[in-house]
Parts: sequence; structure tokens; C-alpha cells
Amino acid sequence: MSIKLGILGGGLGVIVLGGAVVYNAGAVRVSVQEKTPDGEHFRLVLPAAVVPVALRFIPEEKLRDASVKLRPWLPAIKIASEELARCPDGPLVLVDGPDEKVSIAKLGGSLVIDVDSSAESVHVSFPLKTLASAAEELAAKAPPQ
Amino acid sequence: MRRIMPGLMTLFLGTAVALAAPADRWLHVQVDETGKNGERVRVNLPLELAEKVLPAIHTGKLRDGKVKVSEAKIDEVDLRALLDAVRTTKDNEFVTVESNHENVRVAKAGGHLLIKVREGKDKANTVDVSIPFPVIEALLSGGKDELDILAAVRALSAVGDTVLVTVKDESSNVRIWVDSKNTME
Repeated sequence: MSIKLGILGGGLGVIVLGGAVVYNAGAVRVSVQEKTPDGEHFRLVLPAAVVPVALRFIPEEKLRDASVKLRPWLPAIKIASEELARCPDGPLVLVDGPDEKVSIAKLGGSLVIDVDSSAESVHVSFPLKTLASAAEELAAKAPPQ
Repeated sequence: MRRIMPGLMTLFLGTAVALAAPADRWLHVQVDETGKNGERVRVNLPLELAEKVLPAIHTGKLRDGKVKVSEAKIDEVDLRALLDAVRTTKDNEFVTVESNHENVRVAKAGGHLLIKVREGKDKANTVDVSIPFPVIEALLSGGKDELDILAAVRALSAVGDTVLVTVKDESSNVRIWVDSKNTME
């Protein structure tokens, strides 16, 4: 009985710890709202911890192509995301034009991008740590120079 | 009392260090296009981000925070000697150009290199540039054919709140400045 309880307790502990890791990693959120009478609303919430795993499902060739194209910028992307994560929350970029409004801000460890036009509203947010780890994954996929 | 004193000293010193730590410095860009369809642009960039990212960029003419420039453009004039001469003189006006179309003034005042341009009808279009000398020196601190952007950014982090560029013309107003606030206005 005590062995079974021990196994059950251990299993629960792993689930709780795993959940804590996923929770602390944040989430990638995407929302697209079309501004037509029958406009669709697309929503995606993906735990950020899943993103590095999800990258492994992308065909190797496509990933290699992307990493080759991004190679010169990957170190800068990684450093920028780490440094942004350290900065206080606040607005970074705002472009407010007659047709479209774009804002990029740092909020609670995430980068938040909002695009609002007459056709649709798009919201994307992702933890900055996700960007850094994705950049590392892509850098690892790039063939040696 | 003896037990309390070390704790109080630690608290006092820690507070002093925290207060003395420099606040984050931010570079702000503000562009307001006039007219009915004018666009408004705001950019806030922490200078420390630029300091960390610039050395990691190696593309085209930008490498290790330095930009290669045409040797011919810099070799025509010994910019370092010119800058040193200007830096060590008293505040003064060095160049003044006045014509029907524009007035240009280059001067040194309060540790800054000032460039003022007035042009157009009633000289309504204006350009005002004010660069602290330490920033210019840092920019020219690299090799003969390069501008050290990274050094200039570091120097910019060390100067006080300052407005670097102001441009006003018929179509837009532009302002670039540095301070310790991460807000857009």
C-alpha cells in the first residue's frame, strides 16, 4: 500500500511540476478578428514550453533553409530577446497611420504585437524566452559555415 | 546595539548603491506627419539593448558595432584633428551661411556641436542638431575608415537627457532625444 501511495504521490508530483514549468513558461497567443459582418475570429493559445518541441515537427529541410537565411541575425535576436526581457514593461514601437495601427510593446515578460486595420485586428504575444530558445534551436539546425 | 549596527550599515550601503545605479537610458524617435493622412510613429529603444545587440550584428558594412565608410569621404578632411580643435576652443560660431534659400549655422555651445538649418519660405523649414562632443569623439574613435556606432551609443548612455535632432517642415515633425523614461511622449 505504501509503495502504491509513493508511486501515486510521485506521479502527481511530476504532473504538478510539469504544469508549473508550462505555466511559468507562459503562452503564445494569437488572435485574428475579421471586421466583416460574418467575420471569423481565430484564436490560438499555445503553451510556450511546447514551441521548441513543435519546431521539431517542421521538415528538416525547411528548418535548415530558415536557419541559413536567419543565421546572420540569430545571435542578435537571442541577445535582443534576453535584453528586452530584462527591460521594464512599456511601449517600444507605435505606427499610427490612416489605414493601419501597429503597436509593439513589452508586457510581463512577453512581446505583444497588435495590428489594427479596417479589415481585421490581429494580436500576437509570446514570451521573450520563447524567442531566445527558438533562435537557439534554429542556430543549432544551421549547417556549419 | 552592536548586533544591530552591521545590519543597519548593510541596509544603508545597499540603498546607497541601488540609488547610485544608473537608470536605464532610452532613445526616443517621434515622427508626426502633417496632413489628413499623416502617420504618427513612435519608437522607444533602451540604449542598453543597442549596446548588447550591435556587437552581435555582422552583416554588410556593420560589424562588431562599427560601420565601414568610404575612405575617400573621411580622408578628404582630418575629422579627428578638426574635432579636437573645435572641442578645445571656447563656445563659438564656426560656420554661418546665409542665402535667399537657407541659413546654416554651425556652432559649439555647452559641450555640444550645434547645427541649425533654416530654409524655405519664411525659413519655416528647420533642422536642429545638437550632438554632445563625447558622442562625436566616440563615433570617430574607431579606425580611419569606420564609424564606431557602439562607442557612440555607450557615450550617449552617459550624457544627460538631451534632444539630439529636431526637424520641422511642411510635411512632418521629427524629434529624436535621450532620457530615462520608457514612455513615448
